[in-house]
Amino acid sequence: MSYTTWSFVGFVLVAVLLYYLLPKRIRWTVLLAASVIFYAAGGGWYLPFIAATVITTHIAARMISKMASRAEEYISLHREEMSKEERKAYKAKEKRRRCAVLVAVLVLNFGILAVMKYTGFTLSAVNGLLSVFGSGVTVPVPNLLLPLGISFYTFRATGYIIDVYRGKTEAEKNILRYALFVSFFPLVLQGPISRHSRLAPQLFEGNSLRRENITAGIFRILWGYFKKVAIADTALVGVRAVISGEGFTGMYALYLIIMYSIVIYGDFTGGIDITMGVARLFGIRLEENFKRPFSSRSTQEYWNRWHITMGSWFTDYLFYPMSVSRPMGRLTKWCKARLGKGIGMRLPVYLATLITWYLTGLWHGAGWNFIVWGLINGVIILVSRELEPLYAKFHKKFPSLDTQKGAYGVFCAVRTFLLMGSVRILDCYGDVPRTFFAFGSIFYRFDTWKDLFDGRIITNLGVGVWQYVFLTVATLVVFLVTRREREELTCDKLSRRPILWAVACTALVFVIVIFGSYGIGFDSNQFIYNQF
Amino acid sequence: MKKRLIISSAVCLAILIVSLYFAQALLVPKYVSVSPEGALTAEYYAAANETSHDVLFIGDCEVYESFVPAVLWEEYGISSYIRGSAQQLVWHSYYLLEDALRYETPKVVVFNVLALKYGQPQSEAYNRMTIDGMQWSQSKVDAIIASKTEDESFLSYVFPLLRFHSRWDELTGEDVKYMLNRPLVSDSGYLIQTDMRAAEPDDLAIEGSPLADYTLPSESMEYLDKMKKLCDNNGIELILIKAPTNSWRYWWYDEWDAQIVEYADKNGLSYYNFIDEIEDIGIDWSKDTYDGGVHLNVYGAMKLTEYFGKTLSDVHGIPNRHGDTNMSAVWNGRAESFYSKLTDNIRED
Amino acid sequence: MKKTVSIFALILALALTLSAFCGCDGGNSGKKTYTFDADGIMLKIGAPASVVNSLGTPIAKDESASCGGIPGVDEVYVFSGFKVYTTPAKDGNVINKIEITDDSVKTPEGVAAGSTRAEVIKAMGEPTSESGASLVYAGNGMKLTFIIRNDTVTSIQYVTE
Repeated sequence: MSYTTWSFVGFVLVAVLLYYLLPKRIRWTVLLAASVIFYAAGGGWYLPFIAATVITTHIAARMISKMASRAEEYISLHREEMSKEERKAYKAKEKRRRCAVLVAVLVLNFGILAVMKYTGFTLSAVNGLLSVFGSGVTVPVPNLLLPLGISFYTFRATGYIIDVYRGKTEAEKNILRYALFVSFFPLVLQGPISRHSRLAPQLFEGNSLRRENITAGIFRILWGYFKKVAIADTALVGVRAVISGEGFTGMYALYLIIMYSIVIYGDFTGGIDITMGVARLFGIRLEENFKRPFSSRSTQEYWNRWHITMGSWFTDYLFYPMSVSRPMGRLTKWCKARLGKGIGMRLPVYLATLITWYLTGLWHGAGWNFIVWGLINGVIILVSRELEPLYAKFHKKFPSLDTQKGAYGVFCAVRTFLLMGSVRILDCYGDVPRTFFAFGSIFYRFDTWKDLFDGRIITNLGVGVWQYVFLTVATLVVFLVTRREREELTCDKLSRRPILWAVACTALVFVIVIFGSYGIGFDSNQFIYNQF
Repeated sequence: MKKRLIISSAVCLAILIVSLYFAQALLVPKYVSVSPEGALTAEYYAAANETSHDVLFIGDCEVYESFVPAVLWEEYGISSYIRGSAQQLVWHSYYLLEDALRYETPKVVVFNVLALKYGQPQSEAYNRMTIDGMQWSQSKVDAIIASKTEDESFLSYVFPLLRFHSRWDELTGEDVKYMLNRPLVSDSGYLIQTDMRAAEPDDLAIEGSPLADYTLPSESMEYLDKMKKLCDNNGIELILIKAPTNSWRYWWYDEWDAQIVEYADKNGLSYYNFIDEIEDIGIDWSKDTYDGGVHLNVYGAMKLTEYFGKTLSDVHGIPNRHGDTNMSAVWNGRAESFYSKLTDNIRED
Repeated sequence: MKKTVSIFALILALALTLSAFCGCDGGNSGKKTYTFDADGIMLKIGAPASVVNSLGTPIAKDESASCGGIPGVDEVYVFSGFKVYTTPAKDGNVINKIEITDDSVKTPEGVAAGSTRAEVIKAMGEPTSESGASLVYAGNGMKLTFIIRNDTVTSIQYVTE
């Protein structure tokens, strides 16, 4: 069920009504039923996949939990009989057993994800490799349909089981409740990748009907539709024209960088706003996934503000464990000994960073462009780290240049915006060489700039002057509203001021209906991240 | 706090509804100087309220460019109306007829058979131009469901704003001027065309290309059956016609003609193929067309109307209503309006 | 066990990286596009109408506007042996039909008016579908129809789907 359909709106309305009509204790069942319906509406045959993940991770979590408590019991019972070494050995053995269960279930679930998502890509690559070596053999590439939201729910479930293993959260006893955690419908299409410890209480304790939840929720949903339907979809027309057209290089590539940033911002943050708003209607506050990302002054900061739950998942469950793992420790020792302290200290961290970014890229999509995108982001972060002493010297020399304030701050933010935007167009072209070529053309195809001034950009791309005016005004509105969200979100502020809230919501509905890019003549589209 | 919320929500909701209503009135196309064909469907209702009509023409552009009701009145005292629209498909025709029968019961319905060649919905633009003007009724609901193309939604017919909101950056002065009411564009459903663009001479005339399959689609013929039944149930005579054309654009194949002749015979209907009677009608394709032979201009239409009016009067017994004072009053007004448009654009013959 | 996980991840990463020395094959839908060769100039459905200008002066030409004020004019160009039809599209007219009218002209596959049904199938392969006695070959966004009467081809038409 796409967010931009009437059926979704109706579905949410019915779900909210039912939720608050039922007694508090069983309200979570409404959410579970809604999630099953939502998921089935996206494609019934996907249900076995998510069910497999739910069942395997649930059983594994309970097993690990039981094994841990039994081990503790054993130790406390046999404390006197066992020596310290014996206790240590026993604990280690039990830990290894729990780890085995963990690894098995992780391999299984990541395996499912890998097979469904990456088989096609891998086999095509294999075929390419075979042709390079002159073999006439081609492996048939099956066309596997991707279960809805598999990247998101797999990460949610695996995050949970790792948390259970680490003792950070309790294993869920009721499989249906656990199923709700994995499949909660607002999270299916685009995340956020929620953590069990934070989400579970809100999901299972029936929440009381509170006015501020309803008002904040409604505003947030409308705000999301505004960003998605009025801003992102309008800019998308121009973006599509540049990508699919021939010879749109030079100025058009720069246009793409800026416009695609707007599209993905409106599309993704808008979609998340709708997600958050819907959850809020049920009294559930999800983790924020975005924190004014385009005001980031550096790439590192950007990744703390954009798609936050994904970044923190990779950090907590991949990067840190990898960095502090024993193989990594041994590698560090080996490097220090052979290659000197400098490289020795760096290599393991850099390796962990690049592997994390490689996988981050891969998670975004089964394609070379995504992998390259991930690696470039990783490289930028590493390069900035290397340049830190240089930056320090620079700031010492010019103490008035503050990255956080003033003109220099703006410069840093714009620089980061353009940098991230440039890397992001790998997403658009889907083809690495083409992307590099297009980017490069910005610096020598100056003849394309005349299209901007003689109006050909309008006829070429199919976006009229008034639409650019609207986009500018709308983007400005978003900028002005979000920059005041440092302490408190707008939806919360407005829920305390009913008149302003009513006016804001009315204005949003009006703008979405009149200026939204929907209906005949536009491609009413899914969110870009829905292919997950 | 709660009270303030409820009151401000109610007030804002009311303001929203009102502003969306006016936005819709502003944004829907007015069909006055651009695509006046879109206004035809809606103009019927006022006319039907003014007076009854003994002859109702239904069909596509061939019907609203080939007959002049003002001439039918002047010459034969026949009260008629053309309920045509651009690319009106046979299911459109059926439901428009059904709709018209809620207002009056003519003696004769004249249907142009060209549209029978289309068995499937064709174009969203023509759907809208034909259906948007209908007043809400079961017929309109059925028409929408029967005609909508895959990417159309029923809701966008209930709220045309959902379809036309994107016109916000194309608004003209006309959109504002005609927001709440607009002038008539037709003369009893006839759209006057006074230009002249000669058709190609016979030796250069381009014929229609042969088809793989000449069978008229069963979906269309089913609607023709329904139309016949509707007429029978209301005591109306259904007459089939094929308007004259001289263009490869809407080529009328002999194979199609044969099927219509067969259908007419089988069902006891009259069928007039005016393409065969060009000479009798006196049509000159170098003068009587405004688009190179696809449709007739007003001069050609007047000739055809005179010719056909005789048939309607003598063969089908449509009465001469000049004696009816109410009708005469209405029709004198309509005829005057038509003839003044004509004289404004008279050509040297 | 963390070791196993890391090794697994590394192997996966390496495997995918190894296959890095190749581009992916950008597969097509696999459908052919049937084109028509007019004295060395290729005509195909969907091509911009301007290509017709390079065919020289037509024997006859006609144009007609759409009903209902929808902008744009349909055109037809008659040449010796074939006709080209164009229709309005986003950036000007495009070719939407090519009709071969007599046996002076052949398709690139060698079929002409007057060929028998068997000859068509020999030159073109099995048709995608049949309509009455006529053979239809579906292409990429278009179809090629051989209209057959009494076992001979009477007309060959390229049309948009």
